[in-house]
Amino acid sequence: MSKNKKDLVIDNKVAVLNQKLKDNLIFESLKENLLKMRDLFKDDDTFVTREFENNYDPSLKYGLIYCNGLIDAYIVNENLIKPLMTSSKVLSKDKIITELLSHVITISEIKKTNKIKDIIENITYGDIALFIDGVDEVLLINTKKFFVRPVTEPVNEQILVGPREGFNEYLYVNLSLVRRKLRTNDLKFKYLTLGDKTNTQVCLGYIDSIVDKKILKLLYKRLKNIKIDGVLDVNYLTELIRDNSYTPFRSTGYTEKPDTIVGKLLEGRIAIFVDGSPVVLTVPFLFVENFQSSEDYYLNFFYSFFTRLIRILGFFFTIAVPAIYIAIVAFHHEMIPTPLLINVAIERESAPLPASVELPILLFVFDILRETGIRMPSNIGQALSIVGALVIGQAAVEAKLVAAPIIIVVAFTGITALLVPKLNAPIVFVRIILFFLSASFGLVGLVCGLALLFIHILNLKSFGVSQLNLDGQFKFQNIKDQLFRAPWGKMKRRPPMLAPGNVKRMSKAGVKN
Amino acid sequence: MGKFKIKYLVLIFTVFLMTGCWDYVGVDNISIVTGMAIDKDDKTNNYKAAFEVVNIDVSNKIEVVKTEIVETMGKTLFDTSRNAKKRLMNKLYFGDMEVVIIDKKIAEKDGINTILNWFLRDTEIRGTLNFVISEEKTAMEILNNNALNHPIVGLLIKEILKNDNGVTSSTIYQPLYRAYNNLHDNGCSLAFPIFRIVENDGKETLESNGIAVFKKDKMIGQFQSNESKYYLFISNNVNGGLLTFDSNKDNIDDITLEISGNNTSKKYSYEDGKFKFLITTNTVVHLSEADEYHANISVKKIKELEKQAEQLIEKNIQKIIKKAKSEYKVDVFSLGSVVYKNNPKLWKKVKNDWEKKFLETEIEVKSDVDIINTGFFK
Repeated sequence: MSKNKKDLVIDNKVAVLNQKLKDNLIFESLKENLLKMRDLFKDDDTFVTREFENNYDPSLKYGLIYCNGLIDAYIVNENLIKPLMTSSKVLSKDKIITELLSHVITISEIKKTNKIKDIIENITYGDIALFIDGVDEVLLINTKKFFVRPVTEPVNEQILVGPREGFNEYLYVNLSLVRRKLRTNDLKFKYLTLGDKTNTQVCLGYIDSIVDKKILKLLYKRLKNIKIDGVLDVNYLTELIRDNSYTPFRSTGYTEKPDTIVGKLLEGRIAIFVDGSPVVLTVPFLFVENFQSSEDYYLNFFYSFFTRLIRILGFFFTIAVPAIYIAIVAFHHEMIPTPLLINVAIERESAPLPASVELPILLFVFDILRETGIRMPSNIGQALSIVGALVIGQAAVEAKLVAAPIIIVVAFTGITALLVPKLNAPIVFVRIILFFLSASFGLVGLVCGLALLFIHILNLKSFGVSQLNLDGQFKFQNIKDQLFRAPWGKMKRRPPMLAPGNVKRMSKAGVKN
Repeated sequence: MGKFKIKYLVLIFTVFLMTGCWDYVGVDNISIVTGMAIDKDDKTNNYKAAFEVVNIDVSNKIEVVKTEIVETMGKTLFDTSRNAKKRLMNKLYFGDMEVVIIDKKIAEKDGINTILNWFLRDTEIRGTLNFVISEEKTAMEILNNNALNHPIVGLLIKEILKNDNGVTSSTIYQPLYRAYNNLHDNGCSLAFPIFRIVENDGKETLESNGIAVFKKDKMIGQFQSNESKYYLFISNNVNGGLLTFDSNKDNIDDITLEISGNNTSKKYSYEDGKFKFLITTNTVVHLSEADEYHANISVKKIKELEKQAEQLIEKNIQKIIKKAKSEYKVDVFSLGSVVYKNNPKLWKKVKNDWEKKFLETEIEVKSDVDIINTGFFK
């Protein structure tokens, strides 16, 4: 059955009208509105409707709908139902909403709407929708009361000195934690809603005068082009808004600490808060952030310099030590001092498998142990360490299944990996690739592998900003914070690639006497 | 994958193709050789080699590392090393070999050119390999000897040689790369350390015993331990060692000076077809023993001691120069290289009859000793 062009146009118009009917609440009658809402929330027993009238004027009929468990019953009773029932003020039907707002309801945050979508989104988030008979608009009243985790120190980012509070799962708490530290109108929070089903609230935070508007625009563009059913954690976004899709390296930073977020905002980055996640993303992401900790900036810079160096070395060790070991033991014997070579040879003599087979097996075992350690209940942690250290480590050596140096290499590799938790994904893959290159070609393979890795890292971009930030121009300012933490008096400028328009951070560094 | 990346990938993988061979050989699949002794069978004229191989048997894991001697015969040196495999599980690995002991007879009769040749060509051998001349009946005796405080003879000898010129200055440290240069460079001559076996606490043990000097690649003589120091003075290789002498002419050495540094410079002049050399030594010493003057030594006395030490050095250097001229008739001190380095044109002229010229050469020695520290006690 074919339709001509005119019919199609009419069909479209009808469809739009129907959609409007579906989207909007256009009834004036309270009965019909409530019926429609009940129909929408059919088979949902947490959905509650409540009808009542004004004591003095029975023609004023009200209806409330809400979801059980999300609202604060005290506020609803005292500040909403009570004044609405007992108010003796004569309300004119024409301006009833304005008058209710200005004279009757004693709740601060109230929105007007006539869209069904709005109503659903808000009552499922702890608001109450107030219907008034004869009015085709609904008041959405903030009566939220959730049970949220308190603000505690994040387990993953514990520090020695410095602020200890951490984000929790409630967006507004998280925003308040940041807002409290940045008391300026320059701080902007912009809401977005993501996820067709979860309707998760996402908030972008930035400092207007510092942020690079190009990056902000790019971020908006990328976020707006996400159509997904649900966003449960920031990592959904991490993977959807990244520049290079297939790289294990991060292109967004994350933290659970408000002080870190404020530090990043002040450097011109944008924070992405997602309701329901205690983790906050920051973009753009520089490679050095893998090695940074907020504590670096709270401790003496001599010490911070040292600890950052250890973290950078740790990354190198954890990816390269197994490869170096295999290269030396299997290819370049002449590189080892003779006494050490003899000791290694004696140890190796007892092991039945070649080192190039032994090492990947034990690395895999270590990863199994580590993953078990994370997933299992903490009260059986001791059992795991006994199994790991005694059974697999000592017993394997004593039973002459593996050589002792391998255990040392694996342990060292495993421990150094913990220095850089943000790089855990690349570490696993890079390590094994370098290992196989090295086991096939010796140090030549290792060096080539490292060269490829370096080229890959050089090519990484985060929102158009080169992550390693060398870009052909080796400027001291660009690498200053990458290798070491400068004393505060010397950090007068922001990273120029993040805040090109406003690089001055500090105009005076105090006086010495 | 942009053009950029592909360009780099191609560049990098060319590196693979252009590098030499690489083999996966586990450390348990090699027999680590730490030392080697070379003798010759008199009748067949074949090489008789002995290899000191580390025993990596698991059963002695807790004990001290042990070595085994593997004795082989072969027509050439490389042949001997391959023949050793007949008795061993794994191929010999020479990358960690530290010392090669050569029988004195081979050095004197056949020369060591053929021996050096293999070591220079082989890829595994280190440039820092040491060559040692054995004074004993066979070189193997030294390798087979129980080393005094190290389980591995090869490593022990290497350490003795390496630290020698900082402590005793009694022999020469001459690794392979230097030996080759000295053998072939203009005006240079070769020298190797000598080892022998001595009695120590009822047992036999090895000991360094001076320097073997060479004419081209053949050994022609040796300097004993006490002469070696002055040989090293001339070649500017003294960094330590002691000077002992008798200060009051009672034939009992009562002064010990510890050398802490020395710099020797050599100058020459050429007139009427005759060379004249001036060897100047500047030595910094500490006064370590002086029974006679134990309380406090006057500046005047120090000056006197310095003078005596200077005379001692000058006298002994002249002595070994005389020995070289009269006995060996060869410029064993590489004085020719001084001429070559300063005036290659002149060297070209005198090169062919340098040996004769050396015998005619007048050598003056000027010594300067500086006592910088006398120690202090009341």
